[in-house]
Amino acid sequence: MRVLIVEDDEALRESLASSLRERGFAVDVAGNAAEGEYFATEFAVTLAIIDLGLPDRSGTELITTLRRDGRDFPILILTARARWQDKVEGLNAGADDYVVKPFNLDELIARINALLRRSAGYAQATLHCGAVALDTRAEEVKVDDRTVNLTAYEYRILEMLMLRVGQVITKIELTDQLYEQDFERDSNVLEVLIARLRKKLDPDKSLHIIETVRGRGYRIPNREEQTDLS
Amino acid sequence: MAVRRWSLSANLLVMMTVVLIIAFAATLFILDAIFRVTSEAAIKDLLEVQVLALISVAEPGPRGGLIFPEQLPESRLSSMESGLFAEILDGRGARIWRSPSATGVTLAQGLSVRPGERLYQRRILADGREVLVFGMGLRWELTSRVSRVYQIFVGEDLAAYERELNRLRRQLMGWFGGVILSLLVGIGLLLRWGLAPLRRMADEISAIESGDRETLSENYPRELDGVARNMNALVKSERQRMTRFRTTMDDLAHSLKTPLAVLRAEIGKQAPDTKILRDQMGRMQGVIDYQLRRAAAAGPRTFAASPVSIAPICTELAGSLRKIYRDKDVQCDIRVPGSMRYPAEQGDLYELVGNLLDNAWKWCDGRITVDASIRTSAKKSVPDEFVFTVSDDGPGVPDADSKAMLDRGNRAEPRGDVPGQGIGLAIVAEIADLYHGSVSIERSEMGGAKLELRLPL
Repeated sequence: MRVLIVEDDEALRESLASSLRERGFAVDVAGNAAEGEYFATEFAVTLAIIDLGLPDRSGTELITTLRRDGRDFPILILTARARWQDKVEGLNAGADDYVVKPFNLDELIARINALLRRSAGYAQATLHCGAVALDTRAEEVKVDDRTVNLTAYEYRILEMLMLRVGQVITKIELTDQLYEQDFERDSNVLEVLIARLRKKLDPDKSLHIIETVRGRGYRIPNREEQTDLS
Repeated sequence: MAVRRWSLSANLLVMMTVVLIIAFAATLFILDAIFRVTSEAAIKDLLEVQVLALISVAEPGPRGGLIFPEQLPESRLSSMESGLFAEILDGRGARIWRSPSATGVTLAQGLSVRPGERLYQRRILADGREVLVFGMGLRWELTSRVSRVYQIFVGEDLAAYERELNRLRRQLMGWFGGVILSLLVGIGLLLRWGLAPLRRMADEISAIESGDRETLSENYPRELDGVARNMNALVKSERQRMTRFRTTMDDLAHSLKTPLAVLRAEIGKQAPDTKILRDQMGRMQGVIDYQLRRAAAAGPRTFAASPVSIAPICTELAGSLRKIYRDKDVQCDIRVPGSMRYPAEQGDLYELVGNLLDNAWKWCDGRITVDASIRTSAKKSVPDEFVFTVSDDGPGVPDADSKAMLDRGNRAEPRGDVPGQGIGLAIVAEIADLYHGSVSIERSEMGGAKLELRLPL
């Protein structure tokens, strides 16, 4: 999950970025609209958090530009203006939700999770896939009602796979969405993470939740499809 | 650079002066031209008469000459320096006679008229005098075979005429100058009298500025009455705004300092309790949010505001809320007539409708209806009301809570334990109050809450 933060206040930007990194997101930061537009164009951004009061251009304008250029990732507005007229303006420009400063970090994360889930087409807060239930609101994973303790990275990997159930997600894409720099790419960090995740979800290796598609990547097969076939 | 400010009356006076001078100069020019033309025509007629009179008394004399009686028909021809001259040439242009008055004057030098011809000419004589000359060619048949040709010239010195013209001009200038001056004095007095209310207004405004007056007086002429009333409304709203601003500041200071004190005390401890820190920060955030939004409301416009259409605002806000509460399947019926308008600041209307709709979206089970109507009052003293209702099918609000939700008075802190909760409706009540309206909570037909906003028209 690659999140782009466009915010001109450095203290807020960095604190927000480090909080999101702790939660397992890959984060790109931009201090103005031009930089933000560059990142949004050059990288596979999953979600953008945009401050409305940017120094070079208003956040609303940036959002309008991004939408016009066909970028359809969810956009969350960060604003100090709490008036409805401002909110409506931002949402009309193409944003999906707004958070008024000062915000509660947990609330922001909850909004981000909800946006990611909605943009993947899920209306419910909890994603189900066979025995696995992923509660995006509480960031909690259960397998057959047993709570599984996952690290932030493990959670994000599982979330990504569950949001796109049935689809293969390549290693490169997964790494891209987890790390900001290229240097992790060649290492086997991802393999290690997946192995740990499998172990935690499925200690006795009976469920086969995550499949490896040789030479391509990983996927969580669509359980309903399987039941239909059998 | 300081711009020199003209007074309105000085400006008008200068313009009037310019207009009057141009008008009178044109009149003077036309009168002068008319006088010139008519008096020259008169002189011409006179000269022609003189020529005819001379011919009538002339007798042919020897060697082609003419004999005139001692007593000429016009006595001026006989006296020197009379300004009227006569000269007669023969057919070849040789002078055969001139009037005694023309002694030393060559009137017809270089002029010639053939028999039957007439000539008028303004010319300057050798001695510098300007004359108007009339000449006439004449063939005198002495017998059936013998005839003589004469050229008769009569000239009038124009000095007298010019003197007369100048006198007339001076006289006209004098009169017109007098008329212009008295007109300007009259206009000046009229302006002074007519602009007196404006001066009075300026004086009263400076009195308000210096704090000696509260408002403008009321007995202004019809043209200024609207200005005075709007000015008074502006002064009043400015004062209200100041009061509101000061109250907000006082409230903010008061309600921020208490949690701040708690925070300081807690941080001073060996092991601060993070729950207390978080609670107090939440409390401060709530205060700031509520007070800022309260202060941001513009309130009624001082000048007759152009009414804002309600339906588009509802539709826009419903669209935004649908986005915000995407997980909730809500059917929102906006039954607001397209013609429904209310004269308020647009931002305030967004705030009113936004908070009411947000509240409904938050609490409803899946249905919201929005209505707007005008409630006319039977009594004349009670103004008509714009009524806006938002109903939902949620759990509704118990009576005790509904009073608490809308009760604000001078309360600085919003109700509710969670920051942001309940602020929306308190803001609605606050803005409604600014517009001298009100909000009430009832039970809706769908079983949920029905919020009714009433604003006077």
